[in-house]
Amino acid sequence: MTENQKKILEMVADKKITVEEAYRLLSLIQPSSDSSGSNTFKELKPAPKYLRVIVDAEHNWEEGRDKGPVHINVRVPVALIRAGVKLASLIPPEAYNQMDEKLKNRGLMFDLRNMKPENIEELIRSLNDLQVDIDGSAEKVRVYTE
Amino acid sequence: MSIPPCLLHLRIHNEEHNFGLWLPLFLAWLILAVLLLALLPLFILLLIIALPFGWGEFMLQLGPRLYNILCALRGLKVDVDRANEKVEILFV
Repeated sequence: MTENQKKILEMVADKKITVEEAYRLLSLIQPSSDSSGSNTFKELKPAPKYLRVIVDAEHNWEEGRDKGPVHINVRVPVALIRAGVKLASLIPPEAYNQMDEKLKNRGLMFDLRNMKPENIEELIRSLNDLQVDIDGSAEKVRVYTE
Repeated sequence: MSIPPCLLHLRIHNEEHNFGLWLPLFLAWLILAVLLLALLPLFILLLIIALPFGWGEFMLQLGPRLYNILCALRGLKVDVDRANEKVEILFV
């Protein structure tokens, strides 16, 4: 219990303020003064700003010739993903059907219609915990947020 | 208010070349803005024609959403490093 919280409770005991006023004061000082670490305000991680894709390949085949190892590092702003999803919501339904068909032909059971702008914030926040590591014999792919 | 990236940093390093370029994207945006302003009457005319067919909302929202994409490009960085070549692209 902090000094401020003690003072508020003492004021209630002395009947200087009502219980409602004390509750309001306590709720105002709670986020900044609580240092226990269990506060829900502190548990919320900030939304990621960038999606990082790193590809390391030992061979780079071009025109039938091995051009040696290649390292690709792409930093994509999360805002670009957000804007892309919002733009995708404008795609006409007929185009969605064609896209679905093409995706299914390639073995991807992913319905783009399920990706709605109103869900994008939740999706971005959940990207915080995303980390993909693919370690092949000649290639390594790493995807994470920062 | 968010604005599109003002500069594009391009860096190429290989056996023959080694240079870095700062391309002023803001000049391209200025030219594009003037061009769009000139095409505005035509756009309004097309909008009036498209409204009864249900394409009005699409046309109205397309512009702002494309602008959002442009703005979101700020911070995009692509870095490709091969044996004797290195290419870096950064939107600032």
